[in-house]
Amino acid sequence: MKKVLQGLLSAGLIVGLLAGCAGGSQPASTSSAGAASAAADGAKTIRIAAVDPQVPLDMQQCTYSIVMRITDNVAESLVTCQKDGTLAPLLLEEMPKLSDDKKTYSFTLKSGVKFHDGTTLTSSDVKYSLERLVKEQSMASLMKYVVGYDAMEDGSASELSGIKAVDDTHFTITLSQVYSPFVSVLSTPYAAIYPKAACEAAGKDWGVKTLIGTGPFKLDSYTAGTGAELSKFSDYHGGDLKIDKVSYKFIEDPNTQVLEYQKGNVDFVDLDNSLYPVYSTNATLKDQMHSYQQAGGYYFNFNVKTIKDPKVREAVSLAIDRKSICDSVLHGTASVPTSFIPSGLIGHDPDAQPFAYDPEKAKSLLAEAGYANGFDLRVTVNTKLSLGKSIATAFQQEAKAAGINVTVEPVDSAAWSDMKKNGGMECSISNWYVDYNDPDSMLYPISDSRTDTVSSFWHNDKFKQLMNDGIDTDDTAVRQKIYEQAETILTRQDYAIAPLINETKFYLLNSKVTGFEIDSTDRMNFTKADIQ
Amino acid sequence: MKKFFSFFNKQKKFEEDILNGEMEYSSYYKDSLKRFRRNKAAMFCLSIIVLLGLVALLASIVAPYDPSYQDYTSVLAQPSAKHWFGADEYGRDILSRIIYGTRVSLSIGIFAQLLASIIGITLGAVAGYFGGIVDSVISRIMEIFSAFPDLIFAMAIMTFMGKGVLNLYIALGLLTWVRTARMIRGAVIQLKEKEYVEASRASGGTSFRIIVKHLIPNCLSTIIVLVTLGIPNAIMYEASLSFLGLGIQPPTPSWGNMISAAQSVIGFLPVYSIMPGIAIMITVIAFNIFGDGLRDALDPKLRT
Repeated sequence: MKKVLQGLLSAGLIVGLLAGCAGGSQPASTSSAGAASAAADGAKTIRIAAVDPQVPLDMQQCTYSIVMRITDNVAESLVTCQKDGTLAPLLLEEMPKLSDDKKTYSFTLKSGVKFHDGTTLTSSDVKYSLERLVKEQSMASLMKYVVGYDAMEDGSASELSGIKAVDDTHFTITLSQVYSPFVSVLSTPYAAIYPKAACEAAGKDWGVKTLIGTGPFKLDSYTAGTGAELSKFSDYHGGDLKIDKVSYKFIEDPNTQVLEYQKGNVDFVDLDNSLYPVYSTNATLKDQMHSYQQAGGYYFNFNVKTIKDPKVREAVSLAIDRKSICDSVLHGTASVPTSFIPSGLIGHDPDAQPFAYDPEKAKSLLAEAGYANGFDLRVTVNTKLSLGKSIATAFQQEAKAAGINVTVEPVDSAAWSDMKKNGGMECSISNWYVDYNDPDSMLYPISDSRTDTVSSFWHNDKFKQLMNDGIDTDDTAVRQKIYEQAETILTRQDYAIAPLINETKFYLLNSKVTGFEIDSTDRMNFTKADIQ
Repeated sequence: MKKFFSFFNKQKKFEEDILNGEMEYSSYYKDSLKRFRRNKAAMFCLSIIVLLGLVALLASIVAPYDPSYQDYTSVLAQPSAKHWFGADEYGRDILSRIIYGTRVSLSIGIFAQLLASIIGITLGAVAGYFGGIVDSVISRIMEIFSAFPDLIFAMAIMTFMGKGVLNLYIALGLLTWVRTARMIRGAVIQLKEKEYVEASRASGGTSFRIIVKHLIPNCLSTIIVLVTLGIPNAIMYEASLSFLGLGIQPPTPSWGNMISAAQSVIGFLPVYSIMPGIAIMITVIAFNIFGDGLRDALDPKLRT
């Protein structure tokens, strides 16, 4: 009797479970019917699946691209980078004028530009914002060539003496040395212009409770774990907007994000490259898949204190079967780089060959360096970077052919930052993308002042000199030569880093959304977006 | 009245038969084995466990591929003659990885239980035998250990000690010793009042001798059942921890981390998550039914 009861009970349970599954798919199909982003009240809303930044929405403090994805709509910089990579004035009447000694830039602000709180943009707001960038430290070095930077850094001054407000709409910025990418720097999200009075009044609440800019959308709310709500700014200086609201929904897991998209609950979702076949074979999703190329990619960052011999670093580079990783593990969504400086930037050598895969040569190099019996390599990956994990796992197996025993060390973001700072990494899979289309931005993580803070410790006098020469001139042909040389030292002589892959990024976008773009610096633009 | 005397006569005849060698003396364990053999489900599960043990030992022979061999032409391949259960995101054979995963799961189950038993039996026996303040202290320790939710406790230990197979054995051992200790303590409290314990004490037996020679052997049936039922528990915890990324680290295949990796492609390559799931299910059910069978067989009170 007991057995019979047990049988009945388990049968009942199974039926219940199956019914549960079937029931689960029911609401999905009904809600996708209502997936049109225009709500019943006529307001046009674009819903974005995003990851909770868990930090203030202020790029001057927190330099995460997930923060930028939100703040870019709210706060604007003086200039903007266009699709073709050229710069255009955004809050300015025209591009700044450069003095004869190439050190002083004169700016004229667009008149009548309003902040979301109704105040008018003035030169003092610009001066305040750029000085705040230095005070907030994270990206202060962007301003390091502005006169007065050193005094502000060592605390002897509270302002950048190089920035002078002439009147409400005119100001000048004087540099201590020629720095050709300076206007590009002003296009980055770090150089966003905030209203002085409101920002000072908000204090610690800036980016948490309030964030005010001149952008097309106002920040209505930012709720940890839930999302951020933006609504149209009717006084926007850039013309009328077609959509009324942008709603960011925080969803941690990338799979859940896609499921929400399939259910029709969000209109935009980023895709994971390692899951490319899952989406590309899905009849409905494949037509809604879009891609863009971000300038930059993944690379091995070597700690030259622990891996002293460049021969060993070269051997590691030769042991990576980049082509197989790109073609198989990443399903053709990435390409083998020929240089660290990606194509489209000054300094990229169009004739350079892809980085080679030659385990035999790697073996002999290791033998020359005294590791004939194999070399142990610890590769640290950030668990947040799923692509890094994929590359590390594939490489672990590939490296055996070259006699390299790889231990993969996955760490969370907090441990990752700590290890970078205290030099605890031997070799890490890092990624870097330009903030502005200039080799100076690409080479930033391995510039002389940075390497001690990212567990690299690589210093090369020639390279340092070339980096300085590169910003000292605005002659493109000269700069091309300089950065080509720098690239050679970096990736083909000293092997301070080993470029791994340049990936194409994919996202799903509701086919009803038009006029939406992401550029090569990963910046989203909703000003021309509409919902059909 | 006659009936009453016939009982004594029978008893007498029974003793005489044994003494004369006409009747075979049957020991407790012999009896238990007999009872166990009659339990068909338990016997079947025992054969599955033996099979799993063989698979784990002979993984290198049974598995069609090396578990970390990356066949780049078969990335996320569907099941085929080449890869029976398909291939994972690096083109590694899923069947081979499940086979090698048996090693991890069984070794975790066994070693974690071994550690739990060593700690549990020692502390449980000491607490039960000495009683008083010793018992109080040990019991409070047990309570502290069982006050935390199991999985969170295991995660905390793993985060504290770092990832790795050895640390996983220790974490799971630390997690499950309390149950063993409780049972042994209870059994020892009952047993220590028995005559043979008193006899041993009267003839000058030390506490150590009494615990090791008399008390623990008499708890053996309880221990065997606890260990067998503890193994599937440990296997489940390993799978959970590996799923959460705190257990076995890649590229070592474990059923838990396979399911974790498979969740992102569950709609595309369902076998990838289903097969390791079935492997866990079979193993856990086999150990549970086997353990139940053992308990029934070893408990004379349940004799039918």
